[in-house]
Amino acid sequence: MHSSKSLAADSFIDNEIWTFRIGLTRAFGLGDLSTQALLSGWAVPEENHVWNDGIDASFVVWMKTLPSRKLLMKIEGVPYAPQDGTHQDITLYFNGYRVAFWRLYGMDKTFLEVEIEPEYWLARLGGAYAKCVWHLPTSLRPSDVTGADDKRQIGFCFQALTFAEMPDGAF
Amino acid sequence: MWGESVLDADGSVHGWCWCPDRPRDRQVVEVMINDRIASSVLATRFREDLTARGVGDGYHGFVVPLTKSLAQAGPGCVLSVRQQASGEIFWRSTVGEFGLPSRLAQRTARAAEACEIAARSDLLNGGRGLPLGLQFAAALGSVGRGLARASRRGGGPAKSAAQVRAELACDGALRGPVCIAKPEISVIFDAGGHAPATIRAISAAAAVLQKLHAELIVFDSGQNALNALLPSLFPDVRYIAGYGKLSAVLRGEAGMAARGPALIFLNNDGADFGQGLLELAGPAWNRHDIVISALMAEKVMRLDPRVAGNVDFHLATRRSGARLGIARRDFLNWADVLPRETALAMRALGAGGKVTGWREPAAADDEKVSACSP
Repeated sequence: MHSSKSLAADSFIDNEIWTFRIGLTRAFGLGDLSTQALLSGWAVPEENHVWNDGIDASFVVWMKTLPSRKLLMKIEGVPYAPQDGTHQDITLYFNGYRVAFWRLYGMDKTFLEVEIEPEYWLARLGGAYAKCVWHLPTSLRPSDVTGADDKRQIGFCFQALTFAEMPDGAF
Repeated sequence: MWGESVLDADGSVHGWCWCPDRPRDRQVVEVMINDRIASSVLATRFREDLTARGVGDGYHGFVVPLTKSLAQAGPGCVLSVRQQASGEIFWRSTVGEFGLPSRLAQRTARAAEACEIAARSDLLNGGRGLPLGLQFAAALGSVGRGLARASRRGGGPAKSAAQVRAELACDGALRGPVCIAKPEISVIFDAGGHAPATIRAISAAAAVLQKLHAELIVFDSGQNALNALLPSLFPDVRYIAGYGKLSAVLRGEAGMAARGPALIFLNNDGADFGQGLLELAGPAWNRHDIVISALMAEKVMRLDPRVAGNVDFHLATRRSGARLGIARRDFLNWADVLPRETALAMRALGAGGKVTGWREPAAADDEKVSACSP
């Protein structure tokens, strides 16, 4: 299911639940982020995760203060590559910057990590704003691969997101 | 604040955190390694078991992968999990080769208790008629003494059986209640946590029990290891052991097992109850009525002021710890509310009966009384 929606400017500021904090892990899925930060290209959020649906999926993140140092963006999830010979290619654009590419095999729990430079953030709405676009051109329909009834075009199951300080010693 | 946490073998910490005062709030949880915050997480993950356990809407779980951080911290580091808002730590563990098993303190306490029983196992009447756990403890103690003798190191129990008996009796030989073939009253009370005092109190009340043609039933939820000696010290006391069970449940079981036509449930604070029992079982109590503590009687009257006319109060001159006096027939008929005194009293009043509120002289340690009678 594809969905798109426009975001009222002050909804970022008024709605505390949208904010990220350095070091705080937020979960995708119904209990936490649900549909609130998701822009387009997502399936219906499930209990502790949300799948992309289509080859592009995007969400926004907003922090109260503009980071002055490099941060580590950590995404926890599971790729969808159910058979030998299949894989998932994932490219992440952070405010338009191409920050990472991953090629993932299998369907095991995976932690994606990418360094986010402070310059990549946009100073907007009184805080730091970023639009993350995930490009997943190898997303598959389970109905095509396994004969299941699931017609979503999925590539990665997003479970949690953290912006963390870089480990000691990293600049 | 409620919370649990577990460290998985793959280095992830998972658990849940919930505040019953604010059941819909999501809590921020901080995971610390050696008291430095390693990660914080909004506890929002759904766990089906939480809904089943009544923990809010179930969206209070969290998972924090710490594989890298734990590897950097090395073995022996201390891992703690706390609620950010209050700073209250609800889980702590040592990781790695020096790791301690979970619930070590409780396990150690339980093992110490078992050892205490085992050390006195020669008092356990050879284990006959005892619960399996105590039979095992008795057997363990016998093996321990045998090994100690074999190694000629002078081991074995720290004190002889005779010494333990002498300590418990203090002022002479113990006298147990005698076996009553057809008891007129069944007196039921909790072995509680005051074992030596309880043993002396039973001994002191033996004569009164015999005079009243009363049997004594003691139930033991395992608050004090020495209570396990009761069956061997008093062979004619009926002993119901249910370690870890709620006292209320055991009280119900004891009531069902009673043989007398009238049941008296007593609180046990380790004090002598003989003379008070004599007064309670005397003419002040018409066996068709219900006796409850004055406190409970007042509660019943608050619940339904219309019944005030059928509630009398009796000022007792001696303490017995009276909790409930009831005809066995009524007790069995109303088994669905066992053993809630107020509910039983309301039933009795509804059926046109009378209720007596038993008011006893205050004791210096009244708080202790209520503490041992959940």
